[in-house]
Amino acid sequence: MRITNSMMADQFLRDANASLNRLSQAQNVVDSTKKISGIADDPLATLSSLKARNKLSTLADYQDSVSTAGSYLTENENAADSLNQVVQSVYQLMISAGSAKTDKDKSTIADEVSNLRDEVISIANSTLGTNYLFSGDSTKQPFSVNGTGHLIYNGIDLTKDSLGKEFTNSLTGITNDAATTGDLITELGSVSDYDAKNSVCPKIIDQLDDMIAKANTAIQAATKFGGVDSTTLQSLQDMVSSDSSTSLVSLKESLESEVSKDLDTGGGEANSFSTSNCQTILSNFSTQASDLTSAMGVLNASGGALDISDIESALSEEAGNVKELQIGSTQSIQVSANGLELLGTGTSNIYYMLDKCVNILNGDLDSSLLSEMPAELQTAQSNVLSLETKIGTLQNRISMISDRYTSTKSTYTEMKSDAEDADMAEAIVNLTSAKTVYDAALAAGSKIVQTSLVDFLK
Amino acid sequence: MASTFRGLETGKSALVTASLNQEVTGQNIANANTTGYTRQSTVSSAVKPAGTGYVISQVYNKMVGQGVQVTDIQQYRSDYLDQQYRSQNSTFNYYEYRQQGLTYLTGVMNELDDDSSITSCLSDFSTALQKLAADPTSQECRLNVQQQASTLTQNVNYIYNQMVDLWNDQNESVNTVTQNIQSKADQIAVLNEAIANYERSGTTANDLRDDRNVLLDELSGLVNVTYSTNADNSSMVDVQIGGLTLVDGSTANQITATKSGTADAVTGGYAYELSLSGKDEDGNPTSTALEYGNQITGGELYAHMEMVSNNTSENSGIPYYISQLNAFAQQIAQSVNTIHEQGYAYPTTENGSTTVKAGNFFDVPDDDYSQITGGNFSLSAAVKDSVWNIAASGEPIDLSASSTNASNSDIAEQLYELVSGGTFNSTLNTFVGSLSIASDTTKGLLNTSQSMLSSVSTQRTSLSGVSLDEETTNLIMFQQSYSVASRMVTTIDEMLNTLINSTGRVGL
Repeated sequence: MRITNSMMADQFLRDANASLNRLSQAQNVVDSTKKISGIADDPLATLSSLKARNKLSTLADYQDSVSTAGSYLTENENAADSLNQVVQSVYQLMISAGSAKTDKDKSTIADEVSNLRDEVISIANSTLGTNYLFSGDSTKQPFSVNGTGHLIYNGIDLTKDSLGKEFTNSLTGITNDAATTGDLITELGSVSDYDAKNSVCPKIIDQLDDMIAKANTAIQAATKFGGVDSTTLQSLQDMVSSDSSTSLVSLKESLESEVSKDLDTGGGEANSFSTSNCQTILSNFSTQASDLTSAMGVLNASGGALDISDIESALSEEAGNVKELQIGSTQSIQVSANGLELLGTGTSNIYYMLDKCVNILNGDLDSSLLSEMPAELQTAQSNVLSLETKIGTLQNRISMISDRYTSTKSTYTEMKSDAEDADMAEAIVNLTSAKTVYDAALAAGSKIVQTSLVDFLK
Repeated sequence: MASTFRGLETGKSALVTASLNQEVTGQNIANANTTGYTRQSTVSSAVKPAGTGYVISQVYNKMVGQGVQVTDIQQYRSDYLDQQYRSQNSTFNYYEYRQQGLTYLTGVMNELDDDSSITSCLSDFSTALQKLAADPTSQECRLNVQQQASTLTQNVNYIYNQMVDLWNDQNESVNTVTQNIQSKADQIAVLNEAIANYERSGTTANDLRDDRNVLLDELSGLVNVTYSTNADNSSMVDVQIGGLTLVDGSTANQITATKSGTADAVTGGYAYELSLSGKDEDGNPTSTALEYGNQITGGELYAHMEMVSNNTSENSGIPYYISQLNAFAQQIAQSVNTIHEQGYAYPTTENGSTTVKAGNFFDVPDDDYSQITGGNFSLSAAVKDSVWNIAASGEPIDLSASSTNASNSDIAEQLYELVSGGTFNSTLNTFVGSLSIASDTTKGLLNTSQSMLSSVSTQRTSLSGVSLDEETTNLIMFQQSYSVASRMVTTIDEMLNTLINSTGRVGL
C-alpha cells in the first residue's frame, strides 16, 4: 500500500493519543483509588455498588437504633435496681418495727418508710434525656400523688384499684371465716364442756378476731377509697365496734368472759362455764355475719360505690402501652417497661404496700397487720427481680443482634469495595506500564516522522 | 522530408513539458498538508508525426513523432472510497454527538458520589424518619425530617432542570446544524456552476473539485446524504437527503427549521421541525417535512433530533429519561402520602390540644399524581409551613388527656420501613442502570465506528495523499529531464549553426 508522510504523521498522532488515553485512565484510577468514577464506566459494577450502598445505609440506621435501645434498657435496669434496694430497706425496717417497744420508735420508723415511699415515685418518674422511661406512649410525667394521697398513673387512680381489691379480698376472707365459725358453732353442740372451753371456743374467738380485723381493714379501705356515704360507713363500723351490743366485738367479748369462767367441777357453782351459755351468745352470730357480708357486698357489686370495673378496663388498655423501637426490617423490641410492669397493680402495688406500712406504723391501720407485711414485701421484691430478669433477657438479645449487624456490615462493605475500589498494586503497575508504552511510542514516532528523502540528498 | 526546425520543436515541447511537470510537482509539495487536496500528475502523450497517413508513416519507418504534449492534469481519487468514507462519517458523527449528550446526562445523574446523589438523599431521609420514630415529639427530629425531604426534592428538581436545559441545547443545535447544512448546500450549488463553466473547455477543474469534495465530506458528517452525478451535466453533483433533493445542479433548495406550535409533552419546550422546499413535476413549489427516523437517519442532525424527540426505551432521548425521573418522583409522592394521610399531626397552639388528621406529605398538583414532574416535586404547603404537621403518630393525639398518645410513632415507623425498604432505590437503580448501559453501548459503537472510519480514511489518503519522498524524487527526475532537454536544444542549435554558418564557406 502506498504510504504518504501525512499518513505516517496521522498514524503517529492516533497511536500517541490512544496511548495517552490509557495513561490518563490509569492515572485516574491511581489518584482516586476507585475503579469506576462515573456511572458510565461499568454498568454492572455501578449497580452492584449502589445495591451495597443501600444495604449499608439501612444497616447503619438499625445499628443506631440498637444502641439507643441499649441505653434505654440500661436505664431501666438502674431504676429496677434502685427500686429493689428501696423495698429491701423497707423490709428490714418492718422487721425491726415488729420488735419496737414504744410509739416513738414506731413513728421514727414510719417517717423513714414514708421517705422511702416517696423515693419510689421519683424512681418511677426517671427520664432518659427528655423522655420519661416508664410512661409508655405518653409524654407527660407518669406518676403523681393527688390531694387524697392516691397514686395516679397516666390518669388512672392506682390506689383506688388497690383499695378496691383489698376490700374484695377482705370480704372474701370474712365470708370464709363466717362459714368456718358456723361449722365450729355446730360442733359446739356435740362436744364436752371441757373441749368446748379449751379448744372449740378459743378457735371461735380466733375466727371472730380475724373477721373483725378484716372488717376493719375493709372499712378503712372503703374510707380511703372515698365516695362511700358516711351513714353506710357508720353502720358498717357499728357492726364491728364495741359500742353496740349487737356488734361482733361485743359478741366476742361476751364469749371471752364466758370462756374465762372456770369449768363446773360438778358442784353446780353459779358462775361456771357452760356450753349452752356460749350457744346462747352465739345464737345471733349467723344473722350478724350475714348482715355484715351483704352490706359489704352491696358496696362491692357492679354499680356500687366501690365498683372498680372502669378502672380495671382502663388498666388493661394501658397494659399494652409500652415503648418499642424498630431494630430490624420487621423487628421491634420493647425497650422500656411501663409503669404498671414496674410497680405492679392491685394489692401488690409497691407504693400501696409502702403506704400501708406507714399507716400501720402510724396506727391508722390495725397493728395486727404488721406481722404480715414482711412476707408481702418479699413478694414485691421477687416481682422486681423478675422484671430485672426480663430486662436482662432483652439486653442479651440486643447484644446478639448488634453482633450480627457488625458482621453483616463487614460483608456489605466488602461487596461495595469489590465493585468500586481498585487494587492499588495492580493500578500502579498499570500506570507505570502505560507511561512506558507512551514514552516508547513518542520515541519511535519522533525518529520516523522526522526523516525524509531530503535528508539524504547531497 | 522533415522540417528544419523540427528538432527544436521537439526540444521545446520537452522543455515545456518538463517545466509543467515541475510546476505540478511544486503544487503537490506546496499542498501536501492541505485538507482534502488530491495529488495531481500530468498525463502526457507523444505527439504524432505530421503527415497525412499515420499508418503509412509508421510502415515506412521514416516518420518520427513531434515531441510530447500534456493532455491532462489528473487527480488520483476513488469515488468508491469517497462513498465509503462519507457513509462511515455519518455513522461516526451520529455516535459521537449522541455520546456527548449521554455523557452530560450521566454526569448529571452522578449516583456514585457520596454526598449529592439521590441515593444518599434517600438514605439521609430514611435515617431522619427513623430518628423521628424514636422521638416523635422532638422539634429537632421533625426539622431534620423536613430538611432532608426538602433536600431530596431539590435534588430531583435540579436534575430535572439540568435535563431540560440539555434538551433546549440539543434543540438549538438542531437549528444550528440545519443552518450549517443550508450554507454547505448553497456553496455546493455555487461550485457546481463554477466547475461546469470551467470544464466546458475540456480540462478538469481539479482544485474546485477538491473544494466540492471537502464540502461533501463535511455535509455527510452533518446529515445522511446521498449524491450522484447530475443527469444533464456530468460536471455537477446532485445531493439528496433521505431521497429528497437538496442540491439540483446549480440550485440549492431551502431547508428550514421552525419551532413547533405545540409544546413537547414531557419538557414543555417547543421543538424545531424541519422542512425542505422543492418543486414538483409541474414546477410548483412544494415543502416536505424532514422527520426523525424517516428522512433523517444519520449524521449529527440525527443525534440531536433523537435526543430531542425520542421517548422510547430504544436509543432513548432526553424525554425518555425525564419521564423516568417523573415516574420516580410520582412513586415516592404517592407511596409516602398514602401512609402519611393515615396519621395524625401533633397539636400546636394553632390547632389547640386536640388531634388533627394529617394531609399530604408531598405536594400533589390538582390532586393528580400523574401531574407530578421532577420539576414541581416538592413538599406540601402544610409540611413546609410547620414541622408539627408531619404525622408520626398512628393514633389521635390529645394533649389534654392523661394518656396522650404523643409518643406514638406507628406512622413514622411505617414511613421509615417504606423509605428504607428499597423500592425507591430499586426504581432509581433501574433508571441509573439503563442510562449507564446506554452510554456504555454508545461508547462501544463509537469506538468501532471510529476505527472503521479511520481505516477508510487511511485508504483514501494512501491513494490521494502527497508523499514528499515521491515528489522529491519526481523533482529530481524532472530537473534531469529539463537539463537534458535543454542540452538537446543546445546541440540542435550548434548543428544549425554548423549548417548555417559553416556550410559552403570553403576556402574562406
